[in-house]
Amino acid sequence: MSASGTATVRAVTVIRTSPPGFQAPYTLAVVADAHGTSLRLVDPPLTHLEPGDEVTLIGDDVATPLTTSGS
Amino acid sequence: MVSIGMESEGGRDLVIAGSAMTRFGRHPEAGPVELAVQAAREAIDSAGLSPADVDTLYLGTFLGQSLHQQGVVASIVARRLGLGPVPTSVVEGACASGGIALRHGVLSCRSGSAETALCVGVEHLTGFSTEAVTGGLAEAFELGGDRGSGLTFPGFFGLVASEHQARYGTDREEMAAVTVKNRAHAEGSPIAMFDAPVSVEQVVSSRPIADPLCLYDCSPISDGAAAVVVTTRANAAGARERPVRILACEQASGATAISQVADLTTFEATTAAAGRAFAAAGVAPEELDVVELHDCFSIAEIVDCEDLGLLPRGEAAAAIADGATSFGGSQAVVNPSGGLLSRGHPVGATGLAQINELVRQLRGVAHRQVEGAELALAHNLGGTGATATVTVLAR
Repeated sequence: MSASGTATVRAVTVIRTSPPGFQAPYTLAVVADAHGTSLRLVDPPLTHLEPGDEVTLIGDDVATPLTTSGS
Repeated sequence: MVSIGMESEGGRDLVIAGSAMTRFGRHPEAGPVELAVQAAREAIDSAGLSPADVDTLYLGTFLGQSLHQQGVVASIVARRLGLGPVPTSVVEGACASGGIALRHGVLSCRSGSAETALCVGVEHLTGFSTEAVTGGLAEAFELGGDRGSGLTFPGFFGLVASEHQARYGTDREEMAAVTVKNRAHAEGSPIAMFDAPVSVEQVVSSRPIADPLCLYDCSPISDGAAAVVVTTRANAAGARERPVRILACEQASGATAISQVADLTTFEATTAAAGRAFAAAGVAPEELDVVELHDCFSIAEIVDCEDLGLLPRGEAAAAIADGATSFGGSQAVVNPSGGLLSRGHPVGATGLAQINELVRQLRGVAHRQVEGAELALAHNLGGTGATATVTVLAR
């Protein structure tokens, strides 16, 4: 999976009950590009995303919306 | 529905001679050891055996050590039961720990290293905060991988639901119909944690947990234990009720991180274990009369039905909502006990509680009886599909 560039959202959820060390709510997305799949924290945290939307990858952990079909 | 004439598991005629479970729910009066001993003692007694007849003990638990800080639980339970110096082992496969305990018992008896195996599953979670249990369950995610992103199990299955919706157009109300069905099955059950019916509207308007899943889409944090005695048919001659034949007990592993998964709407461990179990038992999915499967979340039952071959891929949600897997439906009845969503989900105990329900179904004494049930399947899933067991039983 790339550390930068764009990827497509495959699945998305908003976590409402968090494990220790995290502060809910926050959004996680499974994103895919030509190099593979990864789980990313969405920033801003409550952006409305849907499968098929495009995101920009930031480092190994974060994705930020590029296009959103739901907004 | 099917003529049972195939060879039993591994050539030895293995049976479940006895089974028992505690009620699942809140048990502030007892710890995990006490619950395990209670279920085990009742299972041995129902098998018409004594503790001295048990040759080995396998105990499935996931969070016993990390939350209760107690090791060697299997040996403690063996001592309390008076089993003597038999070999004991704790087995762990997250939510599939109970199913794995059963498989180890079957393998021991199949190999001839044991004549009688006691398989126990237990978990005690309600004495801890939701945050602590959520964090504990997240131990089934790889350290430094998905766990570092703040993923929870409701979150993981929320992602599964999201991809299933995108890939197959699965409707939110159809998803909720799984909970509605399973609550209806559990109505009035003496062993269910939740035995009151709910409506689709109540499910979709319950508190959001991890989008699109709401509270009633999720199995509850629970305490409880279940136990099963596996032995040869000859040793089961004194069983209080008819022994149930074990036709197959298979296990497989799968992805442990989302980066390994090309398709979140199927679990490789389930399809592999099911393929092996159907082959070993010599039966096909359409021959089954009754199924207890791993509905830890409403979406999980939909995926499980598709992975087990009970319903066509992408069509399970609509079929379940139409009543295909309810009593009187066109397919095997799925989760007549009410499943994890109603019975509760004390993680390590769940796989053996499924077996306990199917034993009762095949004996014709279940709370919600599938009439004429002859062939049954149990499916127990662990983690992100990291492990799964599939067991086929016959009357």
